[in-house]
Amino acid sequence: MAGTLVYGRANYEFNKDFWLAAAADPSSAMRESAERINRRPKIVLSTTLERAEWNARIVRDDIAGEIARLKQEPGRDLVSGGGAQTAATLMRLGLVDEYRLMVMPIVLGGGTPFFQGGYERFGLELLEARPLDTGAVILHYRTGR
Amino acid sequence: MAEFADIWRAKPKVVFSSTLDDVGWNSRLVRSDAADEVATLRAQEGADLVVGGPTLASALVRRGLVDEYRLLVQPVVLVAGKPFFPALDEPADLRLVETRTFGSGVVYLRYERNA
Repeated sequence: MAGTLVYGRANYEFNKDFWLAAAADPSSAMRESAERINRRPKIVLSTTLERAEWNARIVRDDIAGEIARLKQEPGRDLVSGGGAQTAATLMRLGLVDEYRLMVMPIVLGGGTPFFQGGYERFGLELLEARPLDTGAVILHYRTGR
Repeated sequence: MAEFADIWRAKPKVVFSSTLDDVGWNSRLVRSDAADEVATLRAQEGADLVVGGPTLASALVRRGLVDEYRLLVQPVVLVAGKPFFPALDEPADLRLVETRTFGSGVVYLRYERNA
């Protein structure tokens, strides 16, 4: 289905636990969002995960074919929210049409790069740059042709 | 760019190099430790110091000599190259003080170090 959320195994497990707990907690301010997210269809890109729950199914191979099929369906955009490895996989397969980067006001001094290579250099078209009160900046790009 | 060239030529400059023999353009050649030299310059009265080049800058970042960062984010993914920020022993907080968007798709981000 369109509107599908795309996860790698690690982010799937983290988000599943987080949002199921938020929906079950009557005092959570995020309860409505949690219920909405829990209902969304999801796929998990994994060769090791044995069983998926949380309205998710596992995609083990032919990621490009699976995503292409989902893109053909009517409805909302597909979203992959975080996970550097998953993002790199999708980039290498040329499946990413838009990037929404949130630049945080902190220098970590190390870590996993978001853009990891394994694909050709490519241009982006800036759609919006939006600073937030927190000091974060949202950079919204469309992949250049 | 002629106006900028005049301003740039007139500015006093320091070149850190162990191989250059001489430098022109109102420049001074320094062979000793860059961070020591910048720490000395920084302690003197005067206008702000500006540094370019990630290798030199990383030595200054690691010594805590950089008060402000001015980043120009280009709309291109290079896939390889030299990182702008060096490896740090612990994370450094920044404060966003200015953003500007240019028609070219470049985004200017100015940060101050959160002291």
